[in-house]
Amino acid sequence: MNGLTRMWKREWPLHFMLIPGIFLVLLFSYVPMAGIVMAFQKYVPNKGLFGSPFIGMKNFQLLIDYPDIGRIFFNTIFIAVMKIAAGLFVPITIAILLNELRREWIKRTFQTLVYLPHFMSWVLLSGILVDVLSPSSGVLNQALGWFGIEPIFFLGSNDWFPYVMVASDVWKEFGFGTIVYLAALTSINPSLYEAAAMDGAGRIKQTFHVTLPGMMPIIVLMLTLNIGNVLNAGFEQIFNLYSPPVYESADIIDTFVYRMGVQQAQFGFATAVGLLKSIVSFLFVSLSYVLAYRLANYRIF
Amino acid sequence: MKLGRKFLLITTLIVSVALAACGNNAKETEKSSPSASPSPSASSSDSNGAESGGVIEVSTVSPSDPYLKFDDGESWEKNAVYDAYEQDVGVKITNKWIADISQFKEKVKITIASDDLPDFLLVNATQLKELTEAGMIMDLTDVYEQHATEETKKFLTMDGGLQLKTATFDGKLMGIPSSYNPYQYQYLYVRTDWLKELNLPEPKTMADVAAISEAFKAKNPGGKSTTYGLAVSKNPFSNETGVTGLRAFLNGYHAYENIWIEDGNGGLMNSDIQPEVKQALAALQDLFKKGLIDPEFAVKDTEKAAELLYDDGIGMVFGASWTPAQLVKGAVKDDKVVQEWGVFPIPSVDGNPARPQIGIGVDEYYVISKKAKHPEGVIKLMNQWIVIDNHPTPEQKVYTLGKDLVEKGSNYWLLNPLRVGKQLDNNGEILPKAIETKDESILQTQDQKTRYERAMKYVDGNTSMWWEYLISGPKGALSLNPGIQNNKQYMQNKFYGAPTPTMVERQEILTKKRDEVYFKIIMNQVSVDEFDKFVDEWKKLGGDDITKEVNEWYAANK
Repeated sequence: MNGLTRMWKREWPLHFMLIPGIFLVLLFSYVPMAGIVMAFQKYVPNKGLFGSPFIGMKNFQLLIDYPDIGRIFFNTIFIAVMKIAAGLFVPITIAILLNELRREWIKRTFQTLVYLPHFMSWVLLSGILVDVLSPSSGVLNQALGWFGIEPIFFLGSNDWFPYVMVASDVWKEFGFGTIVYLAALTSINPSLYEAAAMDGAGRIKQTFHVTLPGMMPIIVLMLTLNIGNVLNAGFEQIFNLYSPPVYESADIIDTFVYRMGVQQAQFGFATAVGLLKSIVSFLFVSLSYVLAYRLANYRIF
Repeated sequence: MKLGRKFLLITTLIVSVALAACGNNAKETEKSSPSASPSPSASSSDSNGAESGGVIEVSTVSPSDPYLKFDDGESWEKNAVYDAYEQDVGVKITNKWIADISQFKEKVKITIASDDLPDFLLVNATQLKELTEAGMIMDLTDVYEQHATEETKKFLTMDGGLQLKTATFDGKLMGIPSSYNPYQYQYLYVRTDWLKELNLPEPKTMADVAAISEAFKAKNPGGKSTTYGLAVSKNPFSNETGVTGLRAFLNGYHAYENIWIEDGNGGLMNSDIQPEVKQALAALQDLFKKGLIDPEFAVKDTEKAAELLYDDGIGMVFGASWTPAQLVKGAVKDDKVVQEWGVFPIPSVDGNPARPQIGIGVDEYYVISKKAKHPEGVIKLMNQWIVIDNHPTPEQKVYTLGKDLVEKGSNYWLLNPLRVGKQLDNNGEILPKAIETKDESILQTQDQKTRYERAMKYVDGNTSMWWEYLISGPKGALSLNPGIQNNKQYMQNKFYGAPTPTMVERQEILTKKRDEVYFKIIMNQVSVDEFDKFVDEWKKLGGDDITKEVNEWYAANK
């Protein structure tokens, strides 16, 4: 009996346990990839993937010819990039601040409270936001009124709408990010702080020279993963909150695809846009991965 | 160590078994086809009678509805309705699958995509066209001609045959329209107690509408801090908005929302870009400027917009005939009627009466699979449905009430697998008269009887039925219908073909641009002259091509 056989004998249950996982990944992640073919078809549901006629790049042509396409791409990237940036900055700041808290129970309570909105759906939250942001009866505008500011119709104004999307998205999700970064903070060796204190570094200096560098791997990881979302500006949120007067600043690729693909039943077209989004995301993730390696000498895989 | 490994092994096995079991379950529910569920019902003595001219079997698919409550011992497999069909017309109904009503349409798509049709099923207009092109469904021309009774043929052509025509491709009847009455108008609902209090006349013109809005806001009879003149929600132009829409407002200005109307030169033109719309938008902008429309209407859905109606903030709203069913939430509080509403025909901007816009009255069709062995069975089911729905004998009430023939709110009519509705009803002539004179004898249809009973409950002091009285009563919404109907004072969409190629590609952007411009004009963000720019844009973005295609269709189908 050679070593390999012995190893196999010892470890076969582990390999066996992998089977359901591999099966699920194949079934739900690889098999559906065949559907990409729809992007090049005039897809007719009852003819299926094999029977639908191929039309080459016509679905992509349709996308490029769409009159508002520039506006839609701009809105998508504008909102998504702001969300990525704010989604990085806010949770890191909060995590560092929380980490400075002495009393454990305050920290835990706060953490739980800010984490809560993460579990609510946008359908629900959009109803709440419409009320909170209402110019006539909303809490926010009443508060602004105390400072003599005229009521603002946040959800009906093209100047405000994208920022409201970013702010409400950050409010909903920063609790989740905070937990990730707090976990990263616990992995920093306390002796580094002691050494820094010996050298005369105060709280602020310690934060910049010990805490932040210590968190860097996680920050780079999160950023790299998030960069893939540069074309995902958040369908659920915008779909539930936008309206015709703010189409100009609110219409993003996903809402457009919804109206075109689902309401007008253009499945091939919707797939083509999805494919395009995936390719762009893939390029961005690859790029940020290379950059992370070059600049921060950090590897995810 | 040993124990650990055993534990892992067992866990793995359990997981894989569970997965396998899930797979099987899914398959079984899907495949509960006729053969899998034989369950011979009481009356079918021999199940092989199909060929020998006895009982024939047809399969379908059904949505399970939460309002359907089975009698004890009954189920989708065996129930009084299916038994009755089997006994009376010799057709045994089976279900290939049953899905919850919320998932039914999705499941139909999958059924079509996987080419696994039952003998007959209900599909939408797009699917009808797809199935016809794919050759998956049967040409019904001959079957219908041979097996439909005279009554059925008359019943399905009450509208002059328009609905049947929408299911006809190249002279072949490919589906049976799941017909309903297209003559569904919208009306203006106004707080009549406020009109009386402020001594205002009933609204006859659109100028009256503006004047009443202003008076309601200025004099504030409801005594609320937030008051507007007219209730509007965020999808005012959508077909689905039955209450708080603005379609009827447009109609008051002889403008119409996305229908095809005659252009005066023998062709068709789209109503969205006509100059009358500009006039209507200017009027809406004026209302908005005066604070008579909620500045936040663009983010409020119907229910939210209606809250202002419930709590006395607004006293005027456009809506369908069933609007009172929405208004009742505010009008009746603690068994007392606290708001009085009146219903009026859509006022007009000038001397010509306004014409409410209407569609064709059919958007779904029953189709028969090409593989069906007994298409005539499906037609027989339809013949029988028309009989029992319109003039049931006491015994035939089993089809709607179950075997004990008692109305107990179990909604057994949902079990009838093929249902077509009247394309024309005389509710507006019969019901107001019957309710006013309490004369039950002139009632003709089941629908009229149900409505009469509800309205009578209100007359007898049951305020929860307030809404039915405002719909069917002497001064109800339906009482306005004969006037509209007899003078043909409506505007019906002239285009009923499948979406044209350019429509498929461009309708989305056209609707988007339209909504954007309409909203901005109403909300006074841009001048009403932006409408002219929109018209040019509409034409350039594909509107002209669509108009051409629609006119080609019109020339061929006139």
